[in-house]
Amino acid sequence: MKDYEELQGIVKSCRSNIFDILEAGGIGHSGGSLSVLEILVALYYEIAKNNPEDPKWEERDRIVLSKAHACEAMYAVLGEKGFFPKEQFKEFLKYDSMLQGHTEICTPGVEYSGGSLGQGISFACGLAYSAKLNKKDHKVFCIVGDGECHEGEVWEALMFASHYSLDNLYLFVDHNHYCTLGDVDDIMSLQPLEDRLTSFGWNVINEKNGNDILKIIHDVRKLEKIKGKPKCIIANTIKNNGVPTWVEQHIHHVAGDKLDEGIKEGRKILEND
Amino acid sequence: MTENIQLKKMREGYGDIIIELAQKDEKVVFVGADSGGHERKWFFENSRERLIETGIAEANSAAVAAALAVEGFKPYLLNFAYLFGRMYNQISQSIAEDAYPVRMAGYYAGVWGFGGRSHNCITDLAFMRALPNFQIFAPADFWETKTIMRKIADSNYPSYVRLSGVSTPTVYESEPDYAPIIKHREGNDCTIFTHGTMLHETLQANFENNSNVSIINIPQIKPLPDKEIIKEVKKTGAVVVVEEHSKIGGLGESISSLLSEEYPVPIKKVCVNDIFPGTVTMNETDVYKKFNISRENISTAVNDVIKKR
Repeated sequence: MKDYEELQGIVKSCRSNIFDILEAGGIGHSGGSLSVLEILVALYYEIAKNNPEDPKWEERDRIVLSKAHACEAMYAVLGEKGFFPKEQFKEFLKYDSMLQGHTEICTPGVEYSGGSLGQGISFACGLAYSAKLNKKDHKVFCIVGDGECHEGEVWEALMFASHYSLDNLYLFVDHNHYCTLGDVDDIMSLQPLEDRLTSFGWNVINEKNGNDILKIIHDVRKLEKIKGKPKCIIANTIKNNGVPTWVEQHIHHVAGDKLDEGIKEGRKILEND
Repeated sequence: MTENIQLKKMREGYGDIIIELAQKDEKVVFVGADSGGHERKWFFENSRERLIETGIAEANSAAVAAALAVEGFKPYLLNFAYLFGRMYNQISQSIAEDAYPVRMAGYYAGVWGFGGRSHNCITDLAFMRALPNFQIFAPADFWETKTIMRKIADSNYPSYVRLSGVSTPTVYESEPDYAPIIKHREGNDCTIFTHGTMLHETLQANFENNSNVSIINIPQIKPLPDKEIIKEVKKTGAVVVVEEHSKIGGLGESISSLLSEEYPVPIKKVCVNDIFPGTVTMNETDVYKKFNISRENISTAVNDVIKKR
């Protein structure tokens, strides 16, 4: 396992990539990308089997970003890992670019074309079921947003996974506490989220610091030992982590002056860190 | 063609072929949301793990099926036609966008049935036709259902097959060879295009004034066999489209759109009006009269369109 310094270095580099991508597009989903970053770095650099030289490698673990609007984080990590050249960041949001406004399979390393919420977790269930049917031992990791959990389909999929004892399926809830128009629990309460997930037959860890990469890795290692049940980490994260002004304003989409100022602020923090 | 024809369910033909395919190919899987008939029973009894049951959770079933296709399985997904509306966003994003070969079939399509407005679906072709990458079929009877199921088994595209929910008259005596259009009668005065249950009804129509009509079955709704349609229309210069579907978005509108751009001729549609069809339990002839898609309506439309030539 890489040491903390090394992993933090990768996270910082990927955060810098997110700023480059947002800058190139002139608009983007900063909030959900900056909250989920450590989860993606943990997956691609420590937890999941993957090969940037061969993105469709049969034995790879499948990573499904159901909250596909956090595409900037996905592209930042895939580019950093070498799935495609970082020069592609400049093409973000251009028509026919491999970096679209929500993750799509035209990007090397992306398993699922999303955008409309609630479906990626069903897709991940199908991948996990297929692995069992094919007698393959690869794992499936899926990341949903907390606001995404308002979708009824998420709960259909949660039932499915426990019904079929899909212990090869790992779900992260990126619990950054805000959806577009406010506090996720004010809009429609998810609580008690941990109890609800547990009652749906999942083995759940409620991780207080979902932006601590070591904790995320440790939680997954702990869950790997459990057999017969699907597993979930509720990762309590900070929306717009790394850009205090955006955090304060609960930014979801960012553009214009706010984008420029936030990127400047975020880069300064990275330099001084 | 006589009235005394055997009634058989398209659903039975559908299930027969799935079982046949599943016996030969272990990659064939069946995805149901508390839906299915004898094919589901076959999977349950013979290959339980290849029956992927989601419970009454249609949205989940569509996206699960997409992933099975990605991993090399051949998923067949069956449900009520109206529920494809419920799954529409899942079908669009998780299946159609990346053209995953999920083979879907919707039954209870049309006006027949006791289900009432929620269930009697006459809009499925409208919403399914609008999806890029999809192939859409509407068999005329039990036998043609089998033909189409074999056709889609070899396809690498997502597909939707429209099935009636009730026993319907058989037109064919055995499985016809697959063709996107099948001519049943040749004539010079008018070309009738039809699909599904309405093929039988059209073949039963009596045409006044000894009108000499072509009757053509179009089981392949999308992609529409454009060239063959235009070739046939050039022979008569008048068109009637008959279907047990809303006048909005079905074969009628599809052919109207094609001809208005490529070869404008007088055209009449014998379709269901823009309504939600309520519960009906009457016999087939009365049902078709009730919804203005009977053989009498077809004869009248032919007369009208010929006068406009």
